[in-house]
Amino acid sequence: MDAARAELADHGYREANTARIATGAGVAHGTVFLHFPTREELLDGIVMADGQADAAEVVPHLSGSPTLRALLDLHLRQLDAHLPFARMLARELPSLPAALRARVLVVRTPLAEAMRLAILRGQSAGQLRAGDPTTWLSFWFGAVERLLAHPDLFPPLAVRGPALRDGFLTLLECP
Amino acid sequence: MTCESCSLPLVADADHGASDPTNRYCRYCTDASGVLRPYDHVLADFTALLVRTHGLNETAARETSAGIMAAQPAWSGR
Repeated sequence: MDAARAELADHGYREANTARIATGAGVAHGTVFLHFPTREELLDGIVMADGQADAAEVVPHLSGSPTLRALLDLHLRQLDAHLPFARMLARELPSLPAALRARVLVVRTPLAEAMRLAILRGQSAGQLRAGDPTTWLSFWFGAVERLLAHPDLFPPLAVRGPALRDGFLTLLECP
Repeated sequence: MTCESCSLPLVADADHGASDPTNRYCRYCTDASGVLRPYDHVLADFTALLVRTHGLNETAARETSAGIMAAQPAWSGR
């Protein structure tokens, strides 16, 4: 998986090469096809595995009614953990097959739903401004995707991400 | 492990239908007793979930939901 993730991050979905993945993983070329018969299944497998791991990280936060800040931080950490792969997804998502685009959306749903609920809780408590949580989330995910898709134009996520988070919260928080 | 109806990740007990970790379906796809709900109900709720979490338009959300569900074991006979 690590070799495949690195190959996809370096060369993109359409140019990914199974021979290089096999070399990187130290396995026979045919072994790659044994696990992932198609390029689509390969990327799907990685997105699913990462999505499972990311969802597992969301769970401990849910028991304590996490703040939006905590979930934004978690999101930034998760992206940073697989940054080259996250950049590839942000760059190529519009041109991926529909089934893969759907998969990416679905694995992001647990965190997005946790954020939405955190916004609703903050609004109920009078800490966050009124407004449609889905729209607020679109601002956040749009800004992060833009940062990821154009690493040559913007400061690194580790630098710009916290600033985006603080700016986003400043917009939402009641004075 | 993922829901065999909609493929959402099943990580915590509460993610499973009726909070039963042996249930193969998620809390969104099952009723209060953990039984898988009818296809049309699951599709409608899955669509609504994608609309409210990602801001998809209704058509895209429904197509995405239907596409994901079509590949899941629960609906393979449809």
